[in-house]
Amino acid sequence: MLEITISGMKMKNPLILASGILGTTASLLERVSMYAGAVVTKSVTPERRNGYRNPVISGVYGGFINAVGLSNPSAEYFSEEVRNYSGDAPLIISLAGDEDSIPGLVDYFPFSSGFEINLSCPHVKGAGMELGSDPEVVKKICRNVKKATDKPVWVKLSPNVVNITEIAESAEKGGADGVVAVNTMRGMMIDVETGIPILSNIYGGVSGKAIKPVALKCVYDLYEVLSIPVIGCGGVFSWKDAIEFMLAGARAVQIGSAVARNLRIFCAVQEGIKDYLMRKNATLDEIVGMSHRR
Amino acid sequence: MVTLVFNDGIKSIPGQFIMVYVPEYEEIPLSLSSESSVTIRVVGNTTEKLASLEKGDLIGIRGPYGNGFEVRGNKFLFLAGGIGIAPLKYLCRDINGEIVLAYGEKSRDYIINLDSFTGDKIIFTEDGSEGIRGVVTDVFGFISPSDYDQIFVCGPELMMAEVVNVLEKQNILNRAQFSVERYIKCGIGLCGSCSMDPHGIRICREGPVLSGEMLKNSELGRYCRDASGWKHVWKD
Repeated sequence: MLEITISGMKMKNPLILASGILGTTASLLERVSMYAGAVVTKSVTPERRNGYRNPVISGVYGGFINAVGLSNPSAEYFSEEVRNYSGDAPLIISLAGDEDSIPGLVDYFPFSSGFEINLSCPHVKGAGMELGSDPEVVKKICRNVKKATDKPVWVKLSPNVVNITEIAESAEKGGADGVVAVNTMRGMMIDVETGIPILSNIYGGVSGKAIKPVALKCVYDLYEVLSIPVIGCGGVFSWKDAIEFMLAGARAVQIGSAVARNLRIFCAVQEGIKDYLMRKNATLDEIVGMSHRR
Repeated sequence: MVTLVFNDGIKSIPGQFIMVYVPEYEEIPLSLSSESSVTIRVVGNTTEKLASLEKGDLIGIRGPYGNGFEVRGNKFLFLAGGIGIAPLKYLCRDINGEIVLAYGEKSRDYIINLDSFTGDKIIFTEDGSEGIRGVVTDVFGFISPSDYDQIFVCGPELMMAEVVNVLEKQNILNRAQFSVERYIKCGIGLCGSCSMDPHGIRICREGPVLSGEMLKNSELGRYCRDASGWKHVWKD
């Protein structure tokens, strides 16, 4: 009932593990793959990165704020880590880096099901959002990644831009097979006793319920202009959140912050979606974008 | 070794940890050594700063996180190596029964106050300055772990790996619980830094206290990952 195929990837349900959450080792990804429709790894870069000094995450009203700093063991090292992934869900590798280096990273992952380009990390200089704010750069990166691989390529978008639809249309023109909306929103927290910003990087990205309405509006707008699938991301904690994203136009949703509660969040959300579909006597396909057809 | 006492207690289970933040230094995971304290050894900048704090200084705390020790039975063997004594000290709070403590340290100067441990105490020092010269696992030379209902273990990686081996041979791994250390960033099960192979156990969530069974054929004693995810092999 919940099986879907997006960008040629068959998934047992439309709930995907978001990048940056638990995606550091094959064993952990395999564990999540028991429940999730697909898993996206933590972003990998050409060089090994330790990330920022702790604190790299803190709780905020309705979610979290983080600046982990793209810590990863390098794309090459990580390819060995996940080469023998034997999970029960497609493995999507998240790629980060600069304009010139990203396309070359796909060669390390011939065994992956697809790729997600991180053009939206809000807190690393020369990567992520800095690239993802320029429509021409986005188009060029997508084109070059698509040239380098036959596998599906998604682009994870930032909400910290003036016009997200313009960026997404560039990704589509560049050949992207889907967009993920959205990454975290820039934000910060200050400790009032000491007057010091809490994150060691001073600012970071806000995730969770706090950004859900923002993410929902992005998905709604993207559905209007794109012909490639939109994957919703931002504050999915319950079946209701997931359905909202689908009504707005998302073919699937990613779950991140809610994993802090329980890994079985994926099961709970699935059950809720099933109940909803039965109650409405509808299929997943039918409800995608339904809010546009009033 | 320094014990920092907080003005308030933290409702917690022995074995759980908290994230301690010293402004402008790092935020680090520390096991509680009582409801309202942590006991630390200086190993880097942050622990050095922590050790130098004065009465009334402020630190940031979040937690408690993770799973603590689960107490069953009447007869307990505690195996502590170095600073691993800290969470075991807190565990005494929940024990009604006989405790035998085997505690290994580098030297007598490192040994903490052991008043909380009511039963027999067998102390090992590497230089022989106190108790028996040797390491804590030497205790298996004259004590049989199968005589105990439960075995609680906290200490250096290779010491714990050896305990796993010994208990596995005697088929009593299910009686043991180990407090395991890994590189913890978020502390709440999100980032994956503290993941252990082969089951993808998150030390901050399913741990830090794990049953011996979970550690059988695991990465314990073989390797651990650093902040970037690189694997480092343990050496003596």
